[in-house]
Amino acid sequence: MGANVKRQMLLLVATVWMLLPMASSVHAFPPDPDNAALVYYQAFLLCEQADEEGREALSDFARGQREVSAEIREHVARYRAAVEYGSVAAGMQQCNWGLRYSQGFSMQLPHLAPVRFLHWVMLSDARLHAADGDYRTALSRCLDVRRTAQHIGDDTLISMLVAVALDRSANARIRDFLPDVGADVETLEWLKNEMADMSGKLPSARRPVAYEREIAMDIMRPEKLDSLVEVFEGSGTELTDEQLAMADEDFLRRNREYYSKFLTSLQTALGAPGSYEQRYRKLAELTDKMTRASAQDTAATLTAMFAPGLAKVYSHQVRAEANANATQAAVDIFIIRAKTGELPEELPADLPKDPFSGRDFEYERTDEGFVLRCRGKDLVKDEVHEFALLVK
Amino acid sequence: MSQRKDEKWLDGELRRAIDGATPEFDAEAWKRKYPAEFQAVLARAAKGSKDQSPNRPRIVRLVLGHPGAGVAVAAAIVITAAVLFVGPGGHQPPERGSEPRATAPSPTKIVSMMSLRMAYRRGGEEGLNQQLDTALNTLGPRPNGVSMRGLFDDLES
Repeated sequence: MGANVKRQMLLLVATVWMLLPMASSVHAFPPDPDNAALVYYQAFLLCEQADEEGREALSDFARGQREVSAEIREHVARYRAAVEYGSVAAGMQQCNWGLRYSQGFSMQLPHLAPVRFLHWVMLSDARLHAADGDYRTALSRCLDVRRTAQHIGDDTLISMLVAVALDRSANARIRDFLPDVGADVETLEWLKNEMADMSGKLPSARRPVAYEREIAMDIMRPEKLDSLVEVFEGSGTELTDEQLAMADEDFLRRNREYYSKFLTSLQTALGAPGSYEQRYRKLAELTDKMTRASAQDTAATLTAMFAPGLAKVYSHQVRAEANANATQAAVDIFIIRAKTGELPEELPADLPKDPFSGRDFEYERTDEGFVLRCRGKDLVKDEVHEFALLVK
Repeated sequence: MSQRKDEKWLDGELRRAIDGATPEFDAEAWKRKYPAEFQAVLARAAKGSKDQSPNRPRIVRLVLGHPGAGVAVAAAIVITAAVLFVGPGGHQPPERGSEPRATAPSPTKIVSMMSLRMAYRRGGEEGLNQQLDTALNTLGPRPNGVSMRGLFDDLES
């Protein structure tokens, strides 16, 4: 074959090779969305609206307060498509809810209520799979809810509070299922790895405090007085005529300054090294001081209205972390039992710690199984949390 | 005035109207019967002619500025009031402010960031959850009850 012919053949092959992907893309479908929020919103729309009784039944069942029944199975079956979409969304990397941050405190958060409902549906589905012996799927659903919690994230304090509540629910169901997973080391190891991936990714209060500081400072301006009034009235808080009459430029400037200093002190306390108790008490002390000041100093008026109850919010965050850490520690203990046939006599080393004390959980074997107990007290609930695990 | 006397007076006026005769107001009889009211009307009429406020309706200023207009106006008021208050059914005009005012906030306000923050501030986690439950009740989502077939049927009709 002559050189020219060879060259032409090569050119032809190269051309066909380059054109092949274009030919195939003419018939390809558009790709699935890469924003998990779009899939969550579809899951919400796929949720049949339940009446109060139905919602209560789902919520109770999801929390382990109701037993499996034919009625529950039928109820959950209606949400199969929503569960599938929720699961797909949870597995996606990016999630942008499309929130209008420019609206400040008037920003609508319409996704929080339906995502809460979806998590009941998904945990109910998890319980049904567990009841049918499919623990892998049951645990997957729980992990999906934990990922959804991360997707809800911590853009706002309210988002963070809903997120940590979802995470706590999911961890509680995981702990419920562990005794039945029993000697299935493969499933337990898989679960351990999945949970390790999620470790340290719980939403926290730091970012929303910084965000809320910006929007509150922005709204405390004379040109934004209408927005300020609207924000309060929209939340059901009526400003008195006396308060409105006070809101001149000097008042707003003094309030902005006070608020800014106060938020700085809160953020410093939140990020300071130390124990949960030290941070909590400092946050509580700062808030009490501000509340007393606002009774006498008009510069603190708007701070008293806008300031987040950060000590309580911080406690919620730590409680969720304790739940997550105790669950992870429990998985390790079950792995040891699955491999050796017995519970360890002492708590294994290098397990996630109790965030209330910064120390290892207290570990106690019982007749039914074992207990992991925090060594620090939850200062809001005024109790020491403990997590009892059954062993079958 | 007693209700019975009013009715008799009104009956007489109505009879004259039905008979086709134009009712005529007997101002002198009215003045004799209601001297205190007459003096009050005269006083108001005098004040009205002095009050040159540009905001007063022009027609009111013209009427009250005319000699004797005060009495005629008072009589008109009495007749109008009598017809209104003692007419068929004795209907009383609605009291000012008795109609219900729509004060319910927009349902979308319950999912604003500030509103949810306030719910948490007032009631803690439980308060926040209650507000989210209310949001679910009020805003949905609602099931889409239209099937694909139904959609096509709608398009074709």
